[in-house]
Amino acid sequence: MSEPVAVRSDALPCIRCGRCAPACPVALVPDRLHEAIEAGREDASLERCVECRACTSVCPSRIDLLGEFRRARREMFAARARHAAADKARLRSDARTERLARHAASSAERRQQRLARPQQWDA
Amino acid sequence: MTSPLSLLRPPASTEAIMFRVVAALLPCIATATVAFGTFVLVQCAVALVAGAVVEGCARAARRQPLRIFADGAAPVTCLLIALAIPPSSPLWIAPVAVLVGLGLAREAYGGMGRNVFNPAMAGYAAVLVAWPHALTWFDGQTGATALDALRFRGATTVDEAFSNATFGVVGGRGFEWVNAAALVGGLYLVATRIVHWRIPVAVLVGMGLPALALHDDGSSESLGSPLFHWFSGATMLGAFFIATDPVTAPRSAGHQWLFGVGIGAVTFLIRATGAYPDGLAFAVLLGNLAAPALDALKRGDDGG
Repeated sequence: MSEPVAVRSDALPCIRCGRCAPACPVALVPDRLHEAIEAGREDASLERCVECRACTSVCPSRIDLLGEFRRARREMFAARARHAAADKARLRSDARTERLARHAASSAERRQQRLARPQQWDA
Repeated sequence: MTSPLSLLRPPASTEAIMFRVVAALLPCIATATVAFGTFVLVQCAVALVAGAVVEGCARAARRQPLRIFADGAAPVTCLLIALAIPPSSPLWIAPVAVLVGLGLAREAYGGMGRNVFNPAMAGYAAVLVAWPHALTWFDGQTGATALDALRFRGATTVDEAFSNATFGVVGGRGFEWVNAAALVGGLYLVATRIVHWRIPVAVLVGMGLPALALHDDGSSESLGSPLFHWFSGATMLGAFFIATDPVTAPRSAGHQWLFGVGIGAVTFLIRATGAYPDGLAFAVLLGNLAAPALDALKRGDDGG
């Protein structure tokens, strides 16, 4: 429709012109994502972004949408990886605690049995 | 711009969009000057100066580089205000309207893109409600606009009323040409994809359908034909330049239809039964009020 405009550091605010949404190949709504990022909210639909730059190239306010989405996606995936690692560590720690408890219980039981058997010093 | 033909292609930047809108307003300004006198230009100048001051103060307060009018959005607001008020209004009216519109309705909400209400309509409505006596249209002969004259014509038919000098061919004398010029400018905006035809059509339909239903062939009870309403007051300006402001209109197509029809219908309602000669400003502000709620419904959350 119109020529791509180079992204500049003095981007204007979003005027909600609506050109970005039809440009997106995976049917995202870039102006809403931009709004969510500015408000500090996470938007799960960002994971579908393929970083094709179509939205950025049609934005008349020259907002660096691609840059924002890349940063937001990196943070989102990093946060998810951290959560996954933390969950895994917690599971392993729980399993270890349980294993130690089981081991302690079985050791105590074997000791009881050993002491209950007739010993050499018994008459 | 490399050639005049580039004016026919859709603009690529926000500034280009805004300057095209100013350009599209020029026929309307020129026609208003011819119809109502050079005071139209004086009001435009006063409004622009006030706008520059307000924008400068806002940028200075945010410690941003001044770059007055660089994004082109403030001149649009100033010119719309200047066109909305009667040319014979006292010269302090336009600056006050610009102060409220740009300063409060736009800058205090966070600047361009963050306003809820259309700045021009917020400013105009504020002065209209505060100083209604200063904003009466001065026609010389009857001192009324065509909308007033039709509303308070007593028991005459529409045709009889039209023989009054306040009326032109289809609408108010002078106003019909201003509306025609606004229509031309508006069609240019639609053709260059700056404005989608959805909202203007919706506004005209919202106004035209009740008018059609109640027109009643021009009897003494008639409230005016669709054509009369379309070419009176600020209809075309409102339909193409004001209601179409993307920042203050709903995002989805369905809601935009509702928004436009609502504005047209409420304008007709206020014209027919309300106290103000033209209800467009209030209708637009009501639409602006509803737009964020409609957007939130679409998003599926409770706003934010």
